Amino acid sequence: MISITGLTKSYGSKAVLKDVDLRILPGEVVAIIGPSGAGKSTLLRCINMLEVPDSGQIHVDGRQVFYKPNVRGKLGLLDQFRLTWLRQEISMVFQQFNLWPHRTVLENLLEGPVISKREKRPSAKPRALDKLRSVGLEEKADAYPADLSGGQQQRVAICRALMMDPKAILFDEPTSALDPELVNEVLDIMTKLARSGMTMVIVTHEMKFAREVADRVIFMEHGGIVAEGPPAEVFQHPRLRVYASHLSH
Amino acid sequence: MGISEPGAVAAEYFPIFLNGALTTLAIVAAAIVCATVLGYLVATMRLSRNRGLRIFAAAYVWLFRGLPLMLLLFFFYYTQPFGLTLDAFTAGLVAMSLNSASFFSEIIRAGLKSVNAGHLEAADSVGMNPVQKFLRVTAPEGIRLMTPPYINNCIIMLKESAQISVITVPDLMLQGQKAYNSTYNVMETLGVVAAMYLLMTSLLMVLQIAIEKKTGRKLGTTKSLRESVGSMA
Repeated sequence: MISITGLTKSYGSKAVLKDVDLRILPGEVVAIIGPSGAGKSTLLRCINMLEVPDSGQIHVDGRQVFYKPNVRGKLGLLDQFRLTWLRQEISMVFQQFNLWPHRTVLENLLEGPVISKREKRPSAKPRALDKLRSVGLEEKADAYPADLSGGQQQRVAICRALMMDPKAILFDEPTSALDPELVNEVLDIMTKLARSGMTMVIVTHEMKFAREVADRVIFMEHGGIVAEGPPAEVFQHPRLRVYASHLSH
Repeated sequence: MGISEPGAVAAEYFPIFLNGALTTLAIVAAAIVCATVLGYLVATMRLSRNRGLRIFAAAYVWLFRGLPLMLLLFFFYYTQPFGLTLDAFTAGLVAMSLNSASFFSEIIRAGLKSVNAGHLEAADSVGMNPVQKFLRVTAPEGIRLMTPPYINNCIIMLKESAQISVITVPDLMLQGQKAYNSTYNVMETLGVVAAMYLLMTSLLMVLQIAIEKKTGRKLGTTKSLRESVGSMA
């Protein structure tokens, strides 16, 4: 589904990703964990080219999603056409929700399919209301994001991602900006989604969630993958136990 | 004609004043459109990754923000710049546009920079192309911040446009001058002219309030703030 080989990325002289290889299978739920600055978010953001890697290869569904380095040794951005294809295939949920504040909840859900994928509004609207119903927010369809709690906003953002009918969804610390009492309502939705067979790549600090829901856990440190495998195995890794001991839970 | 009855000048010259006001409106409206387009171009150059464009834009702002409008008016009307003989209206329009674009570009630059980077990434993440992203996210969000200084600048343009009377554009100011030169009733003439200027600037202020209300309702206020304001009313 997603295959990454030899990915490197640096900001100035600081190497953020060092030769990372990663393979995501269809229907797999992968949790990426590790301390701040390990390169987790950068890795995630490289998958849909919000961040352009310095070198390496990314394939989505067998299609290469960026060009080889040019003469100056840098990777150029994809041409717009392929970039649009990639982003219609792989959705993203952000730490800060990033709902468009000038549009209602319903309009937020319709933007992607109607504007980007040119779906007709009458066919997209019932789908949007369906999605909202599934996260218990159908009565908020005409509200503006500023009227919602953080947890509600993130549930809407998940609906927005689902509206693209994506092959996979990337989650960039989806609960880190939430008040503690709102974390579970979002994790519950994500658990349901995982059980439904959606391919998910999740950068998270929620150890319990990673342990219980993920098929595979990837532990990153200093821009590289230290350990990966089934949660039960990876959580026994000595480096991860050191890291986990710094967490309060 | 000597000293006239109260109201006589206003009545006799009203059609001429109205004509002047329409000329003022026409040149200011045209200048706002030109200056906005030009200002947008300069703003994007200023935010460009290309160093040459950035320097050009900064130089433009430095030059046209730093020169008096009156000087530009004289330059374009009297010197036949680049071999072109401009009529008074065109010279006034060019001078006002170039001058105002320097202010607009700074306002637009601030507006573009104020757009939340995360909201733009969200647009990327659903596969919008750059044009869609601009129309659906950048413009609506930027306009919210830009509206007050933008309209403020339009009001300044409308008032400063009185200067074009010195290069003989028959605007409201010039028609006023003509009227008191022949009637000697300065007080009454200026009163009518002033009322007409105030009417035009007031319309712009109403427009500003309308835009702020429309964008602010959705963007600026949170639920709790709106409720507390509502409960005070």
